Amino acid sequence: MLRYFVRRMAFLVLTLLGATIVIFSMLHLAPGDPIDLIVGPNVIPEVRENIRHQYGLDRPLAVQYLSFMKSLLHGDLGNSIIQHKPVSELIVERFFVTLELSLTALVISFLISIPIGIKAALKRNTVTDYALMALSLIGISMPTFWFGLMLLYIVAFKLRLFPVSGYGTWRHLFLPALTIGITDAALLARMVRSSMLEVIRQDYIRTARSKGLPERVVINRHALRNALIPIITLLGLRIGWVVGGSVVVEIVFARPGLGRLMVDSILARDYPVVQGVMVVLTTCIILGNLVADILYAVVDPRIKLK
Amino acid sequence: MAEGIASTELTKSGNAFYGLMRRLLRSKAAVFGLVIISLMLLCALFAPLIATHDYAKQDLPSMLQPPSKAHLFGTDEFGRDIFSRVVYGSRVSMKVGFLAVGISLLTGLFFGCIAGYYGRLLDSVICALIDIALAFPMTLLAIAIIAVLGPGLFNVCLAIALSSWGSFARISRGQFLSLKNQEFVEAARILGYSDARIIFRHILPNSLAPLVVLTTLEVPKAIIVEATLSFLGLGIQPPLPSWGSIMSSGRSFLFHAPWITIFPGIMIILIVMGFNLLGDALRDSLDPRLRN
Amino acid sequence: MKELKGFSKVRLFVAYIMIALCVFLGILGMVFMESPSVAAERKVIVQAMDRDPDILDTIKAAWYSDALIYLHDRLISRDYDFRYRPGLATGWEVSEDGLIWIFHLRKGVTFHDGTPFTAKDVKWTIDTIKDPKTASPSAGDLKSIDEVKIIDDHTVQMVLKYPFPNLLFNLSNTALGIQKAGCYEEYGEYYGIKTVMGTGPFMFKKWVRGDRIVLVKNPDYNWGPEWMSNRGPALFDELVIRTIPEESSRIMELVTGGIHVLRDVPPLQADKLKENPDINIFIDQSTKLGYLAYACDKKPFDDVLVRRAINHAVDRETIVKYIFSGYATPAYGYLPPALKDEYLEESEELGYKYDPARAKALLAEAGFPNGFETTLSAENDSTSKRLAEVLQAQLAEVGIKAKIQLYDSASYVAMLKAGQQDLFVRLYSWPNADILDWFLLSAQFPYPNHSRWCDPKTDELINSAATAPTWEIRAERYKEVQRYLIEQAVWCPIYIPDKMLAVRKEVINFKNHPWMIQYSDGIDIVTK
Repeated sequence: MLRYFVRRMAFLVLTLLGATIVIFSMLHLAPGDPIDLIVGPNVIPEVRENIRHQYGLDRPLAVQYLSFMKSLLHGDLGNSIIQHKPVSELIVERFFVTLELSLTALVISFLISIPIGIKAALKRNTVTDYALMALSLIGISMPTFWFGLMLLYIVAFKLRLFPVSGYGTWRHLFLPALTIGITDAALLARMVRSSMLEVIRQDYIRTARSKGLPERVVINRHALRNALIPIITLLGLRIGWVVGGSVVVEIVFARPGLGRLMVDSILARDYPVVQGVMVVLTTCIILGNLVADILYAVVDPRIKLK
Repeated sequence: MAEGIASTELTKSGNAFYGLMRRLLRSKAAVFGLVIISLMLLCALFAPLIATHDYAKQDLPSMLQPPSKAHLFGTDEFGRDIFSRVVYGSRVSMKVGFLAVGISLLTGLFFGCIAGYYGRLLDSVICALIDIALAFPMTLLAIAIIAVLGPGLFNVCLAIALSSWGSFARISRGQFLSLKNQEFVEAARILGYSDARIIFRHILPNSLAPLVVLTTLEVPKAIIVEATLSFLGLGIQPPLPSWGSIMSSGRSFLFHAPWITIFPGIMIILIVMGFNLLGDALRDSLDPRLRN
Repeated sequence: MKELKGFSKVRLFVAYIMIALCVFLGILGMVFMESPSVAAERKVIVQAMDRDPDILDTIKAAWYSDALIYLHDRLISRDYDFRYRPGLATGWEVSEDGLIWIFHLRKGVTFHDGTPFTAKDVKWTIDTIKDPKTASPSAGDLKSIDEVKIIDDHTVQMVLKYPFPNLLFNLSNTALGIQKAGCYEEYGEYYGIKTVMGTGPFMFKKWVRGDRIVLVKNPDYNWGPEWMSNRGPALFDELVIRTIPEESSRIMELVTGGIHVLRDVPPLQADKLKENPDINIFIDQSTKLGYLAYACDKKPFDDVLVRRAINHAVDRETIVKYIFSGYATPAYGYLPPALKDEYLEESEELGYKYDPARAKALLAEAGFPNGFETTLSAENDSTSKRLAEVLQAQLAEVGIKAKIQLYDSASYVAMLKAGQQDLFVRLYSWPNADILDWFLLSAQFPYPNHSRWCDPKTDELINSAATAPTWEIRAERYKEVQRYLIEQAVWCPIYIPDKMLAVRKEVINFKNHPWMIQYSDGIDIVTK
């Protein structure tokens, strides 16, 4: 178990490193002079060279990367060129907004998908199964932003059940979280269903049934537990998707989160902010995957505890 | 003898293909999916014939009309017919979908092949690359890439390709790993065929199956990501009618002209459903365990 | 997978704990979120804006949030007729040569923290703006000031380098909200984000970045300008300025009651909103001008015949009717009529009417009988986009084939600075004739003089107007400037949009003000 854990941590660090290399090099892979991306084009040549030296962009790439990493570890993500404030400050202000949206969306997603997936698996190839799977198919075929706009228009605007946009109360959180939750649940439901189907077909289930146990016991005590194991690992994978989805939803519902910060910064050419947000989001996603992996290791009895 | 074995494998895969098609056509879902996809492709190809109006023609006095006999999907803020714009939009969405996934497929295939076939150090390095690529969620990475490259049709394809090549790489690597130790490859090696020939004429054809499935599942993802990017203002620039950009300009008028946003969305749902149905059916047909 | 006999309950338990932790974190978050405004007794008016400010500091901000208008007072105020009236200055005198200005300051004014307002605050504000170390974007507004002298606690003298009657305008503008002397040292680096100190009718309570700014009424306020009917504290308790980037979301919020006041109603939505019994629309003249410009140093735009041809090719009436649903006026001059003193009344007579035949004739005379090809740049917001497409069609009628290029705001500015434009669409919003200095003096080349118009006669006319000894002479000279600009067809003016405000019926006593809504002047809200 310990060996597994250590291996996973090493893998995590490597992936994080790799991700930072990718994010760092995007600045330099961009067409044009990277200095333009940092200071904006309205600067006279002398000042440009000064700032180039100040940012160390005249040093070799490897050296630049090392100092980038050093600052990163100190929590310094650079400064926004538009707002002249540290990027880390901007991120901290909005981090929680995105976090609460992502977590709530995950919870909603699981609450919807697990019962649906199990039901569909148990009633395999019946009308119920087809209907539920058809619903989930429509769910995964919708662009998240479109679904958000439809919910906004129908539920918030026409029916006046929830506020149209904004941030502050649980009512402002509900529609955005529902948007991501439902589209994610659609995908998860199918995975739950296939996982459940896998498990049901196993020999030991047949054994349990042949023992004369009532169906309900068979399902709840034996099938469900084992089916839940792979589902738990999905938790980690979905984090990435949910965070990505929150970018668009934050814009549709005017929530002041990291996703909106990122898109606004892209449109304003505030590259240090884009870089900083990417680093933070990617770190969270990779950490989320780690949590899922640990969960999996804990729960899967095949992995021996030392 | 070795040649015989090598070529028998190829024929086997040919027979497998026909078997696959037969199984596929028996599935109602697959047929439905194929029908939708074909209709969309026809729509894209024959757009000028299907569209009722010139998609760029402005008719300001009739702007923001709800759907009617004259304008099936209503008009937008310039008085342009939305039905025609949606029909032409299918061209752009198809183009992006296939181009992006094409690049993705080729890139993934390339890396997966090298990793799987040559193994050892190259494999470890490429595996690490793939893991990093898969660590980023697709939409987020595409947005970040556009931040660097700037918007536009080709950049969108590139961004999508760079965000999704990981899955292709992983699958093709798996295929190459398992296939390179098969008999027919041994046979080909004994015969002294070059690596390139072995890869292209022997392993590749046999590894296509899961890649085809993945393609049918990645194309719809690409279409949705393109729509999302265009919606955010980071993708296809107006006045080119992609479904995403139509919805993007329509979103200012959601209040009193919601049809501009509704119809392109429905089109996306239809085509994504089509690809997913086909992909699922393909996957089920190719899964040996379900054949019984 | 084998049967999980003797499956460790511990493991499963641990797993459940971890999931529960995630859920708990989520719920914790929801609990810590602010609850909605508890008391229904608090009267809150909510206004929507399309963007969030970078900083709430008049000295350092490049873009001013409306909040700054209510947090600070200015030396000079503007009444409902847009005339200059006393504000924090009860009166002022100007010397004969126009170089010495003496301001008498109002007594009994305090900052929100109780500190009395005196002359040193005025000096500190102006000195800090002018200090190159502050890097204030408004430093240029005050370049006519040489020195500010404190005569006594309630008298300030400003010594100018040259006569500059427009100082009245600058001192009445948001940029010159009077700040408390030494507030940077006193409140530290978070001044403008966590604290804002002013003398205005509203005090800073909170700023949720990207979402909203919350202001509360200043109960001690009783120094509103004489022209206000209510010179004391505001009648309602809280003013919230929400940031809602989506235009359609702002409208939907207005219709559902999420916001009460919407500035800048999009013209296409105006009719629909008018029909709504819950909403009142206020229409007024704006101080904006939309125009089609061209790079005057590039061929063929360096030829005045071509520039006049373009002016004749544009059908302003159609544009006003369809792009603005009639909520605009065609523009033929360079200033909006709302600037009563400086606006040239004969702009329309002297300007170029819609006449495609004449346009083609002029083009032929200039050597382009079959027109020419060029590019037309615009920002990608919905109005500019639509305007560009209509202009493209109208120009094509006279043979000018323009390819449209769209940009987001940041790239647009970058493009203009780099000088890549041929034809381009622009809109300015500024309540003073010195906008012409800003855009058309050759010293401003290449940006903001994006028309790339470097003309000695224009410079001479404008500079003479800007440094005129009195306001009246200044106005006359600016009219000369406008006449010359029309004659030279430096721009192709197109439209002056109406200023439209939408206000929910719950807001009572609403009066439209030519500059900004005066929330403290008797506006109130009825809560059910």
